[in-house]
Amino acid sequence: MVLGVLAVAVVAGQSVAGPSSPRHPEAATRDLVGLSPSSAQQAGNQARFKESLASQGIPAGELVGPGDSFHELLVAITRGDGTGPPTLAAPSPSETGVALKDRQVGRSALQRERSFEVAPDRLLVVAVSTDGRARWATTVPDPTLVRAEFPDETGALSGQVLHLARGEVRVRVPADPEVTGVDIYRPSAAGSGSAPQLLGSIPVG
Amino acid sequence: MVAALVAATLSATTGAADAEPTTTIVDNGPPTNRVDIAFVGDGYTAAQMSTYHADVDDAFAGMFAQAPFDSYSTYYNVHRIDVVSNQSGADHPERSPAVFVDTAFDAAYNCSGIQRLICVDTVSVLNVIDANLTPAQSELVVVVVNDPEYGGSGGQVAVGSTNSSVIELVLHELGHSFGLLTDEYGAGPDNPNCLPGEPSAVNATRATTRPTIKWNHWIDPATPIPTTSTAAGVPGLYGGSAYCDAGVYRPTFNSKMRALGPPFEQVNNEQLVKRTYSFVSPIDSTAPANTIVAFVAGGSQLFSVSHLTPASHSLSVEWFLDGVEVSSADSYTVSFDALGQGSHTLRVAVQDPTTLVRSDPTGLLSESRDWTVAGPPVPPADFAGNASTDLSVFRPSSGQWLVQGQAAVYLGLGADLPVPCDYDGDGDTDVAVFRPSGGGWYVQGQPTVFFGLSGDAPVPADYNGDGRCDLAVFRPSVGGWYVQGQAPVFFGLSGDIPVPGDYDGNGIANVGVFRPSVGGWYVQGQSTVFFGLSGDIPVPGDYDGSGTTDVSVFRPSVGGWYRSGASAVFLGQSGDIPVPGDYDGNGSTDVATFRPSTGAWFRIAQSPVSFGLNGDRPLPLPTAIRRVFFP
Repeated sequence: MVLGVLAVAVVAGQSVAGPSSPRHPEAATRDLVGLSPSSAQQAGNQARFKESLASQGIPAGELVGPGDSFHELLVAITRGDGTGPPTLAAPSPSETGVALKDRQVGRSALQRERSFEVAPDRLLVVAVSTDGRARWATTVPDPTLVRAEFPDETGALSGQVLHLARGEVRVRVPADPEVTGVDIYRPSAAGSGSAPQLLGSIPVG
Repeated sequence: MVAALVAATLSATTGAADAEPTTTIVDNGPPTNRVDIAFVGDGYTAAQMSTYHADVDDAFAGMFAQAPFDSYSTYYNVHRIDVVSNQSGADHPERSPAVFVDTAFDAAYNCSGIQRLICVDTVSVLNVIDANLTPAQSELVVVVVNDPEYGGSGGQVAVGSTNSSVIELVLHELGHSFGLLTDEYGAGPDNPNCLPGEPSAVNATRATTRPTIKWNHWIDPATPIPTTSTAAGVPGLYGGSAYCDAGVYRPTFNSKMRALGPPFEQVNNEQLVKRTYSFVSPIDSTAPANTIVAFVAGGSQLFSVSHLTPASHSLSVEWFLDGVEVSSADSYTVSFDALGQGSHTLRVAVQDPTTLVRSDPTGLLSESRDWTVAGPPVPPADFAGNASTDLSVFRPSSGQWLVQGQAAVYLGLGADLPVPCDYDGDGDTDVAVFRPSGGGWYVQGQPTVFFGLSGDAPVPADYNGDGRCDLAVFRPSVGGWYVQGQAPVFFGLSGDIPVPGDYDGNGIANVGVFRPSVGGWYVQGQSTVFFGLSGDIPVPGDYDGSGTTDVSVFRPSVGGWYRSGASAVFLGQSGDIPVPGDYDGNGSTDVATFRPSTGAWFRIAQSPVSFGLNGDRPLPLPTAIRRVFFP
């Protein structure tokens, strides 16, 4: 014990320990279970996700856990009216439409990666709460993107990235009460360090 | 063909597909902590299923024969779904005459007018995947098209024909879809695929100075920048990448992201390993499950970790007890007797020391788990931390704490209740008071916490077994026990005296009350014991050193100490305050009294010692008991 002279703090308030009702002693119960290791692991992963979201300029709240069920959304990504030939240039956000085609609820925990990275050929999916803060994030392949590559006789590759006028992708987010919407972003053509472009939002819940 | 592709996409249904025969052909563990690859085939008839099986076996065997997947094959599961097509092969609309076959996923060459580009009905593929595998079982999807002509595509799913290049093609596509790697070649001048900014992929950059190059940690200082060497496997800065002929650089002269045949090379290997760890924790599980582990006195506890094991090397395992490395095995046993008093932290850290990764700023290749373990309980009023009770008093008139052999401490006011306990788990008793007027807890060296109301009795104890005293109050009016961080418990009635203690010897304090009117001891989870009479003072303690709190009372009228199952001991007299504690540090509670009139302390077979004055409050007796009998 380290001994020393202390000043006594002035009492500034009090906590109310909660309502109560008398019961017979034998009827009492309590829970003394501590955090599980998996909970601790999730805390570590949360830090990685928040860091990744912050790097994209997306504010994050407390991320939700995997839960025991998830929303599965079939989302159509379209350029213009969804017809037309493939192009080499990616469409701008204003040319791009996002539409919900189908939704289901899956009855299992939704596994989340330990970290995520943005990439030009993937869409960033962010589940948000009513305050607009991210509560979950993942990436999914951009369904409008097709990579056509071919080797020559030496194996050297050549090719190009085609952007289709329409594609559909499955998006899964936890069916958590905190999650009220899903924002879908496409990485900026300006490259890393630039904010992703919001393509659209889909309400859930 | 473009029109046909768009039409196929538009007409795709979102309904569930049928269940198909599904086989896990490589099972390396739970899908929730593995990378799972799902293979489906297109253009295989029922009679060709054995061919399909062989093609899939060849594909994943070829994949796991190459770095870095060869080292990490144990991190992957492989599933095969058998989908029967009505006809064999794939569409070839470019041929004359055009060939169209009826297959499950409508695979077709010449997609978008590009002859070797195979497109499939992706939505149908994903419907089949969803109908037969969980999301965790299908992180990567590969479609094998039963056609010997070279062809394939990348995107939501990797598509490859059965051409001899299929393994290389699939590996290259996994570099994209799994590794998030870009192509390391240019695509001609003014190609819109050449984007203006810094590529997000780890294997392309516009940076030309060493410190700003993403893979600088792989570049030997002797390697010139930019690099013009054509030697294989020499990291540097090579011109042409990410569909840009100039202005964007790649890490090596050649790689699998530039050509079919070469290895991925260092930078891409590093990324693929890190991406594997984006899905897979090096730790599968640990035991015991709870992070707070309470001990039975004299016992031991086995802690263990189940971790992954790469095919090429071992992961490092390190156990740390209070920050000191104690083992490098997969398990570690903590002995209660080897622990000092208070709270301790046991950590297991697992790390992949692979030389394939040189930069891991977010710690993907490591994982750790912590447990809090409690050593033997700190005896009452052990301010010195030497495992024995100190003669000690609180002087309300001055807020002075007097401990034999130590300098005085000032903490508290006249109406405050002393609540000494080991709140920080460091193995000694901390000076602390509870201020009933505001429910304030003032613990030396710690922030003030408000917990409780006027009229509550403070009952600090280790209620969760973490070796630290928890703030807690007993509210007689409702029989409520309020422990910080825990749900309230209602146990006891008005008039009961709270006597928390480790009555079952599990290292966790039990909620308990002594009911003077009937001499009843009510301890949560245990049978009621009737022991004692009205007027007796409850003095729970571990008198036999068994590691459990014993039911015991002091009867002032005769100076008798009575313990269930033991002979009575007589020490003290009416007016004395019982102060049970482990004064000799032998692990068991000793009977003792404090005589306020003289400030004398009496213990068995020892001469009285004078320490304190009349009006002082001796600290070994819990405040919740003392204030009832000696207000």
